[in-house]
Amino acid sequence: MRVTDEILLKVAKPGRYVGGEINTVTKDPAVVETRFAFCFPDVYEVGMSHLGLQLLYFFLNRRPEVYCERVFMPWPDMGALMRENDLPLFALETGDPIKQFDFIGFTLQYEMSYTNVLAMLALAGLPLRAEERGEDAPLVCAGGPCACNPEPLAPFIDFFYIGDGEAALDDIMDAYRTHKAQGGAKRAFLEKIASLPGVYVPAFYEAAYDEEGALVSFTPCHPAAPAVVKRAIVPSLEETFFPDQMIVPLIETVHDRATLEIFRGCIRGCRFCQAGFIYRPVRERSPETLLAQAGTLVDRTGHEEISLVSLSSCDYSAFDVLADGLATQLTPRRVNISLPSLRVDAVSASALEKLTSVRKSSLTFAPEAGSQRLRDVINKNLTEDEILEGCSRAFEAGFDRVKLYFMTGLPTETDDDLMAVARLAESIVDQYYRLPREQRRRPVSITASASCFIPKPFTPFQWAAQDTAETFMEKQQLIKKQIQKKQITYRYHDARTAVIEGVLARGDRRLADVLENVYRLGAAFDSWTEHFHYGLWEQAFAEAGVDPLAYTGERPLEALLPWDFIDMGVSKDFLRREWTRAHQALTTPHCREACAGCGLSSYMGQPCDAGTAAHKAKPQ
Amino acid sequence: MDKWLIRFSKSGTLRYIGHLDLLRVFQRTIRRAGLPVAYSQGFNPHSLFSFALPLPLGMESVNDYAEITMENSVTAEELTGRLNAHTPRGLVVTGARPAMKGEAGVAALTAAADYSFFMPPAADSGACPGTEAITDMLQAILAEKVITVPKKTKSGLHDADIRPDIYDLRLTPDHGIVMRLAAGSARFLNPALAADTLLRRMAQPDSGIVLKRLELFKNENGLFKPLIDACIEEG
Repeated sequence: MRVTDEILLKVAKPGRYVGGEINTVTKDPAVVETRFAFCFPDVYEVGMSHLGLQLLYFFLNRRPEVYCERVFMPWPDMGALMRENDLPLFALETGDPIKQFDFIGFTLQYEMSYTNVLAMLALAGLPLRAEERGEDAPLVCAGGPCACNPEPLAPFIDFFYIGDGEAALDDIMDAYRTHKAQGGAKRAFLEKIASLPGVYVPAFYEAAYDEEGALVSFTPCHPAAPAVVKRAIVPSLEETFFPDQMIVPLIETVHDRATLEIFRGCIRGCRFCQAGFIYRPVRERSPETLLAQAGTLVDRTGHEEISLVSLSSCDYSAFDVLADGLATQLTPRRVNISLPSLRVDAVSASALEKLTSVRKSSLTFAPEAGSQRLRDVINKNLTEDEILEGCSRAFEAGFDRVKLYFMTGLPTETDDDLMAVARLAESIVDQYYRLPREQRRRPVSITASASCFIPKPFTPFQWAAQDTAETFMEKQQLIKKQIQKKQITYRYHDARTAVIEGVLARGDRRLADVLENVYRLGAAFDSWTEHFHYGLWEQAFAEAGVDPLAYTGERPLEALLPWDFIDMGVSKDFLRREWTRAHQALTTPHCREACAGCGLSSYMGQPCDAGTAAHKAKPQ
Repeated sequence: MDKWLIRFSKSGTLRYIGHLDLLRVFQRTIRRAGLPVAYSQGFNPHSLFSFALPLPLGMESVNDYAEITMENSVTAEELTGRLNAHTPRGLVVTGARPAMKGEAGVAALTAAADYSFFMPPAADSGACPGTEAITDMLQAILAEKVITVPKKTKSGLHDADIRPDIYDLRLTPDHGIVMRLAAGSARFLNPALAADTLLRRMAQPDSGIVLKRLELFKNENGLFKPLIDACIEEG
């Protein structure tokens, strides 16, 4: 059953709902054994720009007996028409309702997508709570970075998958194949997979709270469930599956380009950054592999731009070799090379040259803090000189658009630190105008973007207090008043969204009631400013009898944290050490300078090479 | 550098892809096909590919046109074959010919378009008028010298005479109404407005019709000829 023409002609961007894109997989649903609905809880254009979806889509579909199809959150206009017309949520490849599938899998990329997770379950025609879903309902699972603290969603999900998809998904699919052939209840399947790395079955654990609502215990209540759930990690990316094609959308999406994941993890150890820690250890792909993949991707997609994706692309140990190779291979084919996540201090002039020969994108730097003192507190080892020098080199290479990322509300922050943000942005403008006139073809354009600091699990700042919305807003205005130069565009993120995100990020199971309440009050697309309504959340919290401020304050070091039962590889001792060092404004060198003992080498059971082995192993 | 005209059809799922997105679809198809398309000079080089006339979102197009400039020589078979090997479902390249010496660009060349639709059945009876009846009604409309309709312009609602932009009206054997209307950068009559006007004048229900664009024409000495003309058209 596909959605009708009549409905499609009534909605904005009907291309979101029709499928038929280039490189999608077509299988006969009658012949496959396992149907998997990969659900991205946001609109099509956002989900289709996500590399993880492409990766897992082709990873799962390489198994002949599995058919993985894509599902995105229908835009409100379509959602309303679907409800009016009793049209249940369907997958794009076949148009079939996903409530008939074997698995419904959500990727949790950001906390503000949680209401869309519930909305999609409801649109699919399924009860929200796992315990209310019967045997004929699909198994509902969820993975992605937010799964490292899955608790706010725990009562809605049958099992979480924590870690690298490539590590244990095949085992889960194998187990399901056997299970389905033999017949059996869903619970029996969950019992079978509970001991697999990365698998967390919420129903097999119990949480207990004290009178103040603080978590006092979190223990398994089923023999199959381990006391500690260990993150699934692939030891090497070089041998791991990587798709040699990507689905090419027919309509415009956020990122219309081929994407190369060059490495996972990060050596830097910036103390606010969850991704840097939860994706450790650093594992690189060799430049030979990447260059081959780049060529194939461009052949199969026809994209005009290729993007190198990682947490800090300049830290790729063979960056110059890769940049050289990509430019040689792709410049004649008129493919632009885009570099997000560029660290200003690591960009060499020659690398910049090679990458900018086709078309110039803007360069992005993330000083995060305006003052050196605060940069030291957050362990962003970057001096003002390095920032200016890096920008200088970029300007000389012909870049005239720079994006700067800052955060307000960082631990120990003072007004002086905030004013330093404006001063830094302005000194970059001054730096541009030091270039001789002939080299300045256009006025420089600096975008300074200030987000609100959100303490995240598995970072040294997981105990930190988060500023209130009012404080964030005062700080944002303070910076705004300081920025005078017209070449600077100052942007800042909504403080109230940040506070809700902060609550969910460090939340526990009691937030499930809040999520269900806010969903029923009509919340959806909360990561979109025009759709986020703080009033609904306030009401939802009140109705659930939960105080959001209980989650945003500073956490005592001895407190049991809702995510403590998960081992992401980074040890709590290490995080505590770093938290202490932060308060002393002591920096910690990056992994290739000195090992700080984060815990990953003992987790992996082998010494950590900080990701440099991949290209060294290959004969030169 | 050779300029080519290509003819393509857009149907099925592709109907829901808008004009700008279709441009990107073609650009990527051309790249996947490895065709030696020529690029513009300047700061932001783009491939030399453009459409004859934009198509509204949701409308199917049977014979639609674009022009593409190739850097090296290709044959018509190569061009259509390689494109079709890489187009998405719903997009089929049905013909190609080199641009003629001195021929205007495909957008400037376009003078008229044929659109078809089916008359909706009457709400009460569920029936449509018969062939003769419709043909008579269409002839009657063509016989009118002036057809005034309110048209929305930048300065508000104005009465405009659309009769000069209606070149022909006919009924097909399968009961489809075909309108040949002015189309192109010089003169353009919105097909939805035209269809609406026709149905009102014929005192027929005017909602729920689905328009299809059948063909684009150049004006060759007063005769309308399809932009890619496989055979001689009778006047």
